[in-house]
Amino acid sequence: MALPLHQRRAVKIGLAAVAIAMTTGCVTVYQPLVGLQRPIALDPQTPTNFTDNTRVLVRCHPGDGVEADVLCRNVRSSLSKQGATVTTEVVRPSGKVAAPDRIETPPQFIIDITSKLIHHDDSALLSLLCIASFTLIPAVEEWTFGQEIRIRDAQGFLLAQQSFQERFVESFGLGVWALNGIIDLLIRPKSEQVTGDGYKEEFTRDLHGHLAQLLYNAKVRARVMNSFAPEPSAEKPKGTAP
Amino acid sequence: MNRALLLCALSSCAIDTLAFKTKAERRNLDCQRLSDVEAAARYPGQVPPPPAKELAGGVGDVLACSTRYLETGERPNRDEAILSSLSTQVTELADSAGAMAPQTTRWHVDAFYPSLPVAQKIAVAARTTLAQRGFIVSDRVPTLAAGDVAFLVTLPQSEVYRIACARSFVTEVLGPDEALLGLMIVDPKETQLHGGVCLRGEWRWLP
Repeated sequence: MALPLHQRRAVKIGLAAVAIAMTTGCVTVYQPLVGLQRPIALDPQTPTNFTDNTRVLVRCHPGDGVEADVLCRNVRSSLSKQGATVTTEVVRPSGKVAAPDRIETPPQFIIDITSKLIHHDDSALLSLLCIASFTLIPAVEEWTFGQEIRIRDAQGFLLAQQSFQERFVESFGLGVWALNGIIDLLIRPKSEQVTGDGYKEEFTRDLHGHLAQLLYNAKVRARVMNSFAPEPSAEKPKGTAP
Repeated sequence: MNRALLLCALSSCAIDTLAFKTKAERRNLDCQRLSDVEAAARYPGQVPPPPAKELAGGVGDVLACSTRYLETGERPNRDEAILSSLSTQVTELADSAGAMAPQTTRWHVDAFYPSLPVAQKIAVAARTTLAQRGFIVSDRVPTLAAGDVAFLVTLPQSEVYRIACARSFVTEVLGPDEALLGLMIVDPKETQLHGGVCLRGEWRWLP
């Protein structure tokens, strides 16, 4: 059964729009707002930053738009690579702890990471224009996230704390994607490229670097507060009950 | 063509100017989110007042950014990290120190930091903070005899401040109504300041 001419035209336009949308990409820009742009003195790539039996419990508190379990897993991986023994907990809003790692020896440091979505902006006008222009005009969406990090010792003494904020601006559309893709290809150096997942790597590098620096600072503060006394061994004394 | 131009003009109001900055330029900005009411009060002329939104009960949001005086990379990383949070760190330590001695105590301040210009900035910031709190602050830095200093440099860090403090009191470099606030880093890879107070020959680390 053949469709009338105007319906066939509508179907063609619809298919064209879908095809354009399928081939269109996003350009996401990451901007550190608070804290994350500050430099650090520690090299997070060094595997010996926390080798002297540093035991850490990372507790991730979930927030809107934040996958706490993924964050905890990534932080564990990052700190473990630097020599720390890391266990993780995801604290649910009810206060319950979900699937904690098995803790064999008590942690020396407890890191609480509270993440939240501070701001979200999605321009309805631009979204409409984006659709009307077959994505030639980009739709822009913006998120601002915040992290509050507190590090305490086993007795609950606050050793270090820091707040971070960052913003992601995502532009969706053929025009912005193609234009930036061409500029990335021809002009921008690799470190400045905006298409692809470079923003994720940059943010992860910033956050994990600062987290490592904060833990290092907390460790030194604990030493100073104990008047440089040697840390007690994690080994259980012989003869104690299991 | 005219329609396309109109659409571009309409959409430009929402296009983020930060998207056109390089990564390095974006990292040289210090930004904070403000409500539009607060932003209009802080930046009159740049942010228009929002009476209609206020009347309607709407809450707007403004991202206020300022460019740093010194760009990232101009100073060594540790100096930059310390100096960019100097006010906060020194205020906390000076407030803790002030609570440990009577108001009539004369305060001396010394900073122990590998870079002399940074050490001087730290010391000046601490003196200023103590003076603002109403304490008597001296410009003089108490100095031990050369022989004492030669001995102290051989000691481990856990002992050096305690013994230097005791020695200062015994040799009357610091009197009974005087206190020394010492600010320092104790590890080359840390980016925080520690503080200690020497009062009547006794050294105490600040929390």
